[in-house]
Amino acid sequence: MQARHLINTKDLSTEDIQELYSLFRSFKGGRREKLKGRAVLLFLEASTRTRLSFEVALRELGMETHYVGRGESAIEKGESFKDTIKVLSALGFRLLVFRVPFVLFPYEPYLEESISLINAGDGTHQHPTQGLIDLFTALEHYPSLEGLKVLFVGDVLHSRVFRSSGELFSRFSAQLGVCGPATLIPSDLSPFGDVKVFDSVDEGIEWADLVVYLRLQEERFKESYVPSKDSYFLQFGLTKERYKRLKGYFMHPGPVNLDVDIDPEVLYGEKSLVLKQVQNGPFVRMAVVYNLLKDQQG
Amino acid sequence: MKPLLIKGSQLIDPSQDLDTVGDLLIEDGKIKAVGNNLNFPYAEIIDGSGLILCPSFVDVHVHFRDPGQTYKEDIESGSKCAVAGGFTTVVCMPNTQPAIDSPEVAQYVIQRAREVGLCEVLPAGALTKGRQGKELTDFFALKNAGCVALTDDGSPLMDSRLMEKALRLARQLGLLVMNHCEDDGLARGHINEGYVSSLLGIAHRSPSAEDVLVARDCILSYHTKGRIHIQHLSSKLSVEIIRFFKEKSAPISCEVNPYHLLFEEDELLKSGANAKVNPPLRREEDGQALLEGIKDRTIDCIATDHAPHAKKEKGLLESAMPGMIGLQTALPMALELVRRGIINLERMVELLSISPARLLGLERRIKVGAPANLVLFNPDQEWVLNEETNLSKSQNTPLWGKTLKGRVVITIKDGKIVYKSGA
Repeated sequence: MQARHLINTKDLSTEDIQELYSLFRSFKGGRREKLKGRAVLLFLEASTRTRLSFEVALRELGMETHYVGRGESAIEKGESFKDTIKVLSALGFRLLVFRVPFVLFPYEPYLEESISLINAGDGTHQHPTQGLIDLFTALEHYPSLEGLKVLFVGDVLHSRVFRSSGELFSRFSAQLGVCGPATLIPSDLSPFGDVKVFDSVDEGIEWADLVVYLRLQEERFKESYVPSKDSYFLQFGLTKERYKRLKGYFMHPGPVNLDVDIDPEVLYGEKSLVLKQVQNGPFVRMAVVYNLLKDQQG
Repeated sequence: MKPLLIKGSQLIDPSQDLDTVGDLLIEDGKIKAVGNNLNFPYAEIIDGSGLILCPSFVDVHVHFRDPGQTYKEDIESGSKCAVAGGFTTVVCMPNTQPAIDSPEVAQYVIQRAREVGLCEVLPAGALTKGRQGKELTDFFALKNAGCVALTDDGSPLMDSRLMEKALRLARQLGLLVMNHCEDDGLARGHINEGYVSSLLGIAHRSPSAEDVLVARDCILSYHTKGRIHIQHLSSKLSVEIIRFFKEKSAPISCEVNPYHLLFEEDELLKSGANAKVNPPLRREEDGQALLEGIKDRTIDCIATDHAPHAKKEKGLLESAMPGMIGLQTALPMALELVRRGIINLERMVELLSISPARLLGLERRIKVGAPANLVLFNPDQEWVLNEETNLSKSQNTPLWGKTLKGRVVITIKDGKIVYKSGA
């Protein structure tokens, strides 16, 4: 049987997502399943919550986990990543959860081995499990996503979270808006549907039912896009005053730049879903892993 | 050499409005006679019925990777591709290793091409030493060594002062300056700014990068009266800029790569890194503007920018080398423009042969006494570009494995058959 993978939210059909949502709900409700075999977590970029959340999920499912971090493997470049996958497959691993600092596209040539692949973030491209976390957390807190106005604020240009979450929200008939420094908003947003662009975050907040704050990803900046972080916070950040005016909830995929993205005093306020996203992480990942591996017990 | 008599083909030469069915006799490297019912004792007779015979093609932009990167291509394999595509003259770019920035390297290229003996390979010398954009090369010495043009192709010459000097010096020597127009500061990314860059999160090189440098070069050419040739034009606004300056009689010419005419940025989603090129494949509106430019003669010629790369250099989109092979696909792609009614056959021959030849001061004509540089092709024959038909050392093109329509039957250089299909 062909190994199954999750690289891109677009690889998931709407039925797949519905199935994953019900699996997520039942795992969250206490259901447990057992999978055999070993999984590798290969993280070539720093991570706390994604990595630990995957480890927790895999161990809950009874899998053995092995972690390889940055500087601990022979790969830092795209092409030899293919060899690594071959080697891991030959070693008998069933699953590779990877985070890499480059865009894995085209990715078909990487899917030829018998090991399943889950993308935990590839450069500025995709972070599908985070997208599912955001979508499922919203489904838990809003009666319907149909017509829900979702505003993404911050560095949309470099955001793999936006490319995953935005795509999923748009597919579930939410309306998307974006706001951020003009240098960090892509000029063509048509891949994500009919997206409203707000120059003023205050107007955006007035419009939105749900606000997703994105992190200013300075590690991806090859040049300066934002002249001053203090001014960025004042112009776009979630200040105490803006927090008061939120009509609904806000999210942040983490990690948060305090006093740049969000005021620390409101980060865990009652309109915040930030910790709900974190708590949902392992259950979403259990659903994804179980769904990929359940039909091919090794 | 035995005389050659090609009988009953459609003879096309737009330089003299020739489009007729007839016979053509070649003797001693020259066209000896053109007419009907020609006969000649001892001549090798070629049945040209149903085929088109026209002046052979000239490509002002190829990369033969020789010296230095012969795992991608070399002068021999590149020459084979050229003649199989109907080309008998090509201008090879100087981004070799070492660069063609000295008479010695230029002479190596010319000498090696003569040894191979299939195709005339004319070197373009580098504009600056080591293609570093800092110090001009010795134009006079490069010209004496056989260089027909000057360019740092691949690395645009950013220093405006140097470009101004280069245009003045080259004008005096009768050398053509070519520039790959993309402003380095704006062209930091990998693909066009648009749908695909947004979708994949891949850094872009916007049309602005091209437009800014095209405008600068046009302005410098306008003021210095130095000839500038804009390489691989790809953006809508750049077409308009060139049109504007041509109307002002600035000595500007430009080329287009067939891939920019027939493919758009979304090809990257289908062909991956094989569709990565600089300047990048752009949008429908850009392609439309290029086709308009072809029709109204803003664009002077087709050039393939034949740019071979090994498979390992065409992996992930972000890290892949830019460029596609194009010598064998140029004719079928140009014929596609004819089939779509965008241009007629005469204009096609002009774009592939007459016009690029003129840029180099060469002549391509079907005329008694003229050198016999000719291509005989079947516009309707279908063939597949694959391991058997491809003559390049590389396979990087979105057309790999595809069925192409239009095939060269015979290519003749100075009266000698240098390519015969199936041979």
